[in-house]
Amino acid sequence: MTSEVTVANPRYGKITDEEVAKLRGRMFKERPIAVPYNRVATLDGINHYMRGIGDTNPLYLDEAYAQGTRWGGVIAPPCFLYSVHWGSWDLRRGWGLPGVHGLHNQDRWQFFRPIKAGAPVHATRELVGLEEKQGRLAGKAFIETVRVKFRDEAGQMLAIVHMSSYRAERDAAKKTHKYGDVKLGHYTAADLAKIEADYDAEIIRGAETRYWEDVHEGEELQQVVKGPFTSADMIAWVMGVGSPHIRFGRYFLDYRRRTPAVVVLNPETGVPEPVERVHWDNFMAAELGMPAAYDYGSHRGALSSHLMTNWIGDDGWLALHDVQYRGMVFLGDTVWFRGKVTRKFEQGPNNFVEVEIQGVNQRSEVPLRGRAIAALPSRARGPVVTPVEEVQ
Amino acid sequence: MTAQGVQQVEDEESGNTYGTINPEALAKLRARIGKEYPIEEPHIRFVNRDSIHHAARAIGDANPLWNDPDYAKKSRFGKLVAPPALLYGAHWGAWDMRRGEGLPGVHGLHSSDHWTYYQPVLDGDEVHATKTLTAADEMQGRWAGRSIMQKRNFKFFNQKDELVAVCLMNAVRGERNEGKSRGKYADIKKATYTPAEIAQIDSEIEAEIVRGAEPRNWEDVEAGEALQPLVRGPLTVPEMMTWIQGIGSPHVRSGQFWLRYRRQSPKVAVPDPRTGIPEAVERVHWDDFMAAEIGMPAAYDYGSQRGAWATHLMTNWAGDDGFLAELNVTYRGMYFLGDTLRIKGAVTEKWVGKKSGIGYVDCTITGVNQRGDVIMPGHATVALPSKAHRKLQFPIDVEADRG
Repeated sequence: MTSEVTVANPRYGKITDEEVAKLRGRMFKERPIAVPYNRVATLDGINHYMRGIGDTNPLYLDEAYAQGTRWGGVIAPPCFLYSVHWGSWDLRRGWGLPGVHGLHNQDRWQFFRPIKAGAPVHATRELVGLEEKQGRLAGKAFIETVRVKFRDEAGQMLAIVHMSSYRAERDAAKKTHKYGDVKLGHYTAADLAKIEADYDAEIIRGAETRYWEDVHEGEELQQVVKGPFTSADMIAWVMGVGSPHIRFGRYFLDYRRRTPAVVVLNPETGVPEPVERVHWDNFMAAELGMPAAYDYGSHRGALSSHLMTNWIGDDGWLALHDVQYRGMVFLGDTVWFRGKVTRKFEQGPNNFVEVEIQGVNQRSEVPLRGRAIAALPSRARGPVVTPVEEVQ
Repeated sequence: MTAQGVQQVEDEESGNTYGTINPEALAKLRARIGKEYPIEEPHIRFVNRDSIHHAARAIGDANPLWNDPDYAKKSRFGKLVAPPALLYGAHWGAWDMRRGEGLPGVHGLHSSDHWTYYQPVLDGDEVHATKTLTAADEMQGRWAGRSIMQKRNFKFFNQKDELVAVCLMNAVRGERNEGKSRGKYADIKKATYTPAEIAQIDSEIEAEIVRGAEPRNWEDVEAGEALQPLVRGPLTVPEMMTWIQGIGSPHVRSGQFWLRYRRQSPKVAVPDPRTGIPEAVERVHWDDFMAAEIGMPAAYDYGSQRGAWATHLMTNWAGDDGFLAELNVTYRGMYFLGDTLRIKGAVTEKWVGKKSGIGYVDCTITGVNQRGDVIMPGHATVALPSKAHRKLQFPIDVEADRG
C-alpha cells in the first residue's frame, strides 16, 4: 500500500545507525541554553505566560495582591520555565536525527525554589536518555530524554525538568494512518454552555490556606477545563513561552541554511515553512497521518500544572509534576484536567500530598496522565519550608 | 436593536451576525472624542533584553544594537536600545487599546501610522501610553462603501514621564457584509514561487545593510540617494505569530481570559461554521475562512507590521548614531499570505533644524508587492550626526525644528 502514500518532501529524515551513534556521543554533556525566550522572569514575561495557559491566578499577576502573600510579591508560576528552555532557540541544537519527527511525550518537573519577579534564570541542557522503542506511530523509533537544570544568579538550583520526545520517521508515521478515523470536535450551543459552566466552576484557592491535615486520600481536585482549542490558543502559548522554529526574515534565513530539515516547502505555493506548522494548520499534520493540527506537548503539561496551582493555594508548593502526553489533542478538542489525592506523607521539614492527574478529552480519551506532589502547610509543623527537597 | 444599539444583520452564507454602522453607535463613539485614556494592559511595560529581543525578532531585524549587549555597550547609548517598533507593544498589542473603539462587530482595517519619536527607548526603561480618539469621520471606500475613518492619538512616556513618542493611528471601519458583497479583492490569485524566486528573495534578504557603528554623516548624504531596500515575505503564518509574540495581540486570548473577553465584548468572536467554536475575528490574519467573510481571498498582514518594517528600513540606513524622528506611512490595499513586499526608500531633501541646528534628511518610502501594487507609500525624517552636532542631543523635536 506504500504507493498510495505521498509526502510533500521526499527527503524527510531517516533514523540511521550512524545518526544514532552520533547522538549517543553527545550524552551527558551539559551545555548552557544561550538563546532563551525569557532570561528574566519579568512581570511582563510572567503575564504573557499566564495568558498562554489562560490562568487568571492573582498570585502571578497582581502585584498588590501578591505583596500580601508569604512570598512578598509576584512569583513565577512553576511552568513559566517552559519559556526559558522549551521556547529557546537552542534547546534542540544537537538533538540529532534531522528531519525525523519529534512528538513531545513526557515532562518530569521538580521545583525547589521560588522565582521572584525580576529574577534572572539560567538554564543548561544535556541529553540523558536514548531508548529504542517499537513504534505506536511508526516503525523504528526512539525516546530521547533531555535534562534541563534551571539555576538562579547565585547558581542555586531552582528546578529541573526531564523532557522526553518520541522520534519517528514521518513517512512511516503517515503510512500507519493511526489517527485517520478520529472524530474531530464539533460543538452545539449547549455543548459550549456546558464548557463555559465548567470554566466558571474553577476555584482558585488563593489566600485561603489549604492545610495538609485537612486533605484526605481519595479527595478529588476541582477540575480545570481547557478548550475547545483553536489556532489562537496555540498562538497564545507561543506568545507566552516562545517558539523553537517560528522565525522571520534574516533569522529564518539563517536558521534554514544552518538546519535545512526544519523547513518543508509548501507544495501549493513553493514557500519554505517551518515544520512547526503542524500546530496550526492541517497540511503539515496530514504529512504525519494526522487528521488535523495538534497541540504542543509542553502546552498540555503547563495546562495540567494549572490544575495543581489552583488547588494548592498561595501557601502550597508544587514540588513534582510528572506528566505523559499520550495520544493526540487536535484543534477543536476540549480537555478536562482532573486530579485525585492518592498519598500523604512527611519528608524532612515538609508535608506532602501526591495527586494522580488525568486529562480527558470530549472523546473520553485520556491524552494526559501523570502525578504531582505538592508540599502543603501543616497546622502542626508550620508553613512550607523552601528550598523544598527532592521527592519521589 | 440590542442593548448596545447595534442593528443585527444576518449573513446568508456563514449565518453570522455582524455589526453595522448606525447613527446610535456612531453617536456613542463620537462622544468619546477628545478624552485621553491611559492604556493599562499593554503587552510591553518593561523594556529589557527579553522584550527588546522579542520586538527585534518580530520584525526580522538582526541589528546588533538591539540584539548584542556587548556591541550595544560600545555604542553611544552604552546599553541595548529598543527598535522603534517596540512601542507597538505599548499600545497596539495592549488588551485595552480597543476599549471604547465603538461600532462593535464592524470590521477595522488599520490604514496609517504617523509616528514622531522624541528620544530613544533603552534597556531598563519602563514605558506607558495614553490614547485619545480624535475623529470619527464618514468616508466612502472601495472595500466596504460607506465607512468611518477613525483617528486616534497615542502618547508614549518613559518611567520619568518624559514624552518619547507620539503615534497618530487611523483605521477604516467598514461593514463585513458590505466588504464581502463588493469583493474588491476577490479575484486576486494566491502567489506561488519557483525555487529560483525563493533564492532571489533570499539573496535580497542577504543584501540588507545594517549601517551600525559607522556614522552616516549628514554632510555625506545627497538628495536622490536610494536607501538599501528591505524585502519581506513570502508572508506566512509564522510571520504573523512572530509579530504578536513580540508586540502582543489585541484579541488572541486563551482559557479564562478568552471567556471573559467574549462575555465583555461578544462581537470579538465569530463561531466557526464547521466546528461551532467561537473564534477571534483576528484569525483574518492566519486563516482564510474569516478573511473570506470580509471579501478577501486570503488571510492578510497586520497593518502595524508593515509600519514596523518601514522603521526597520530607516534604522538600517540611519545607523547607530542617527535617529528616526518621524515616520508617516499609509497601509493601502492588502498584503496577503504568500505575497512578497519590497520596501524602498530615497532621500528627497536635506535641511537644518531651525531651533536645534540638527541636520535632517527627508525620505520617501514605497512598499511594493510582487504584483506591482504600492501597498505602503509614506515618508520618513531622520536626524543624522553632522559636523556641528556629532552626537545628537535628545529630546529631538522635528516639528519645532521645521518651524
